[in-house]
Amino acid sequence: MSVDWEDEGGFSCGGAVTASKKLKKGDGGLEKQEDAKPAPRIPKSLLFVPPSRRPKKTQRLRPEKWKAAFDLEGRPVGFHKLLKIIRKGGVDNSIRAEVWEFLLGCYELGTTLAYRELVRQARRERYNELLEECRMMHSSVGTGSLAYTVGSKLMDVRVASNDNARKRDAPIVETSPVGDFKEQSGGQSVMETRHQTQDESRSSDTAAVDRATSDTCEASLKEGPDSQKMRINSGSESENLNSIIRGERTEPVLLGKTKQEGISSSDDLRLQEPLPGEVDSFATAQLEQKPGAGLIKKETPVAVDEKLVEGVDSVQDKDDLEKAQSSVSSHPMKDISSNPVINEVEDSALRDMDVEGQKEEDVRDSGFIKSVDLDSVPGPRLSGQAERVTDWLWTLHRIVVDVVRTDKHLEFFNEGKNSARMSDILAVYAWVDPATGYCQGMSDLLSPFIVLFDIDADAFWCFESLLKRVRDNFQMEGPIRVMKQLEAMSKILEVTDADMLKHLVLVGADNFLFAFRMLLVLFRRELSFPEALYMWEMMWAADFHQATAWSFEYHSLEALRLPNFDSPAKIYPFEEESTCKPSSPEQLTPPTSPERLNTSGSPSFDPLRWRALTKRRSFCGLRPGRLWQMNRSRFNSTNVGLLGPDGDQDISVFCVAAILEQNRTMLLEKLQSMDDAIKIFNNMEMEFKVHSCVNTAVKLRKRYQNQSSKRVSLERRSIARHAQSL
Amino acid sequence: MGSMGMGSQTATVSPLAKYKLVFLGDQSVGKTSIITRFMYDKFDNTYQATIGIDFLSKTMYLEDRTVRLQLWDTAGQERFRSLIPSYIRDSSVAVVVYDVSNRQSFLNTARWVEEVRTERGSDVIIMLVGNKTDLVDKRQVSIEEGDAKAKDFGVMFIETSSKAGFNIKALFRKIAAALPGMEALSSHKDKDDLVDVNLKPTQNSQAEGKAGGCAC
Repeated sequence: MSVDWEDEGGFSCGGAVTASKKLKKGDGGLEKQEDAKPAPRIPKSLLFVPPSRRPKKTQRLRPEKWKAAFDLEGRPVGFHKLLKIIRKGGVDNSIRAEVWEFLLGCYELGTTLAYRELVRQARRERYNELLEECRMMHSSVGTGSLAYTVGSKLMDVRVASNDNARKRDAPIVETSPVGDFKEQSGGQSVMETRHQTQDESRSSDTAAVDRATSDTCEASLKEGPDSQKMRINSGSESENLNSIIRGERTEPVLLGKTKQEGISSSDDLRLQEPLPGEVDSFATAQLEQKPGAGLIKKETPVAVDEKLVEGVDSVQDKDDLEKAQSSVSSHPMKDISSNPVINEVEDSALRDMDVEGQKEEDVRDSGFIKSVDLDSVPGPRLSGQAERVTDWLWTLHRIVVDVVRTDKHLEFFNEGKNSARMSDILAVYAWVDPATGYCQGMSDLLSPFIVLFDIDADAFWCFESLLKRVRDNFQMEGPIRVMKQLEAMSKILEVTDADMLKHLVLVGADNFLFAFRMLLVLFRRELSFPEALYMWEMMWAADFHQATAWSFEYHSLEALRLPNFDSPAKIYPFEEESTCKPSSPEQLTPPTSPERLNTSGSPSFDPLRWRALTKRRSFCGLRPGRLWQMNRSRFNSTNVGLLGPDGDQDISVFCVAAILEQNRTMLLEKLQSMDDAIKIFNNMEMEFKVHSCVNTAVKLRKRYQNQSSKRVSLERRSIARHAQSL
Repeated sequence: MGSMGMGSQTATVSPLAKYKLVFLGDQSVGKTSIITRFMYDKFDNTYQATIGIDFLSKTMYLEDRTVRLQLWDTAGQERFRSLIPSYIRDSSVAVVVYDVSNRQSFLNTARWVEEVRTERGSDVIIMLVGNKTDLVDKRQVSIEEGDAKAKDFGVMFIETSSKAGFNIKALFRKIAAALPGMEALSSHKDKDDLVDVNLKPTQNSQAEGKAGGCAC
């Protein structure tokens, strides 16, 4: 079964070329197709917004305009003009994925196309490494099937994600139900067998184990044509895993290290890697090959792009592609829509995992650790790492429980492999960010990226960029960001609509809990899927400066650092730092010529300086200093204090205020208690139009900020006067 | 929430007494499913995880009076537990749900009950519900255990299956019978009294069973 959509998200700018040509359709279903090229990568219906509820076509950011906004080397110029367009009318579907990458700060504005491609490749590699780590802990990860513990009626199998080797081995078979789960209440029967090492369990486990545990992946491996290879691999996998657990480093796995160690020694290691040379040759070659408009230069990646369009993720050569395709088509996707999937998952109830001292054992009981044998790990049992693995496995289960019920109303997610992609990404995220793990709501935020991006790694990185902004909501500890935002609502309404505030206080709804869901999953539940996409991009455009600025408060997760790229050192010569005191945002983009690339990648490269920079510049290559400057010029100095990381200045908060304003009459009349408020908002009994909402929100925010700064200056004046009189 | 008529205050005067029921329990134990089965007599596999809170209300016609039940469906996610007190605050009933095929969710009921007691003291009816009894093969918590636990807590108990539609009506009947202002109706809260309370029948009759192992 070939994938019925084109790749556009795979490459940031190159996509624009292909996009403008062939991605005419799928955009609300209104445009006609110019080229007779491939079918839309995203099903039309998925992105259809009724005309009355979407921005006018002319208001949207069109591919032509987007394409024109890049210089010869593929650097976006005049991005800030585009921001305004996006804020007012959203983005055309065909270019959405690549625009989002910029909006979310995945790529810095000043970067060239060649550089971005390098970063992208490095990110994909890192993602695949992480995926591999996760797969060692649970064999289902990255295989397209979900990690069911019990209940075997499963989702189907997809082509494995982006790792080449894996791809060839990918079990592209229709997984058949492995029979009903016959576990005893305590799960004892399964437990014993699971104590074996992975190798044993793979090759010589009894069929009963497979049947009983119904790990679909395991089952599919046995049935798959390439199962032999997988089995051969399994031995080394378990070794790797053991070393992960022991906290040893399995190159290139960075994560096996403890955090403190990881920083210094791994950085050193990275420095010695031959990447600078590669960087240069690759970048220059590309630039030489394709002189001309910035985007056209992107043809190399685009060529890959076209291949991907055929339907298989990240297959890098034609042979792979053909192989994969043939096997895909000869194994039609199993229709799971009729299967009571969710129930099976819910059934796979979590056992007494948290019971003191039993945790590890229980995880094993519930079928999580197939490939891990914690007993065989030398050294103290339940070391930090082992505990972390156990926690992760527990989290994986919770992920699956939610993934199978996320956006199930979309046909797209009835395809099991798409749910599995979601599960993979969440699992990898939970692994790299144990302080967050998985929390409900995250799957809602992830699903649009799954739809927009063909390559999991790209989706992952975008998702991670979004989470950076809202991580506080989902972290296990600490105050919830949304709660702070709700607290700010009163202050905001005081300025924008005092009567409404009075009313809400009167009826006891001034805790604004009715807006909790909206802010937590960014209006995903209140809007249709395609409307939510518009809403998001419009909000991100409105928040672009703020978000990128205070994102620096949050460092990149250790495991996601790409030492060769997080530091602009190799790309941006150090001198540029001083020359870069922009007066207007447009001038922010530093010159990045191939020559400069060469110098910076030269052997005279100073690792100490480099490391210092890396630490300072951990945010996806964005440079805090300049962005702060930019912000200072955009918001006057009195407002700077308001731009907190608390999110009380987020446009989403003002969107809630805008919704209140737009439904003012109705709310003042109907809303007589907090219950009413929750009912009205949950059942969407109010008017909520995306574009007018965001536009109103922008105005309200401006008004609020002006008022606040006036108040501040008034206070200052009165203090000064008071001081004078003294 | 100040202006909301509290059930216990208005029950005796208002013909349409309102009672607030808050549903608590771990993630994916079936809180939303129970409510949906009760409200619409249907079951769906694809309820999204509840974010924040959901609110539904239904009028129940009892023998001599009509009550309006306001059902508050909460998120089971640990992270958002701090929101719960604001929902419990003025509730008359707390329905603490666990999944009989998930022992952990059963063990966690203690925390939920405690949460309710902290917020409302004894001024609240608590019902312990073991859901998903249809998962016969996967059961991890026996009815006896559930019953014992309920006795331990000093709360009411019932087992249900929202998928099979088992005991859902019985659950709400039990709750209704125990509501403040209902004492006149049932001299003492005992399961035998439940038969006195007649729900207005909804479309199809559910696979109602006896209220399994009632503890009260």
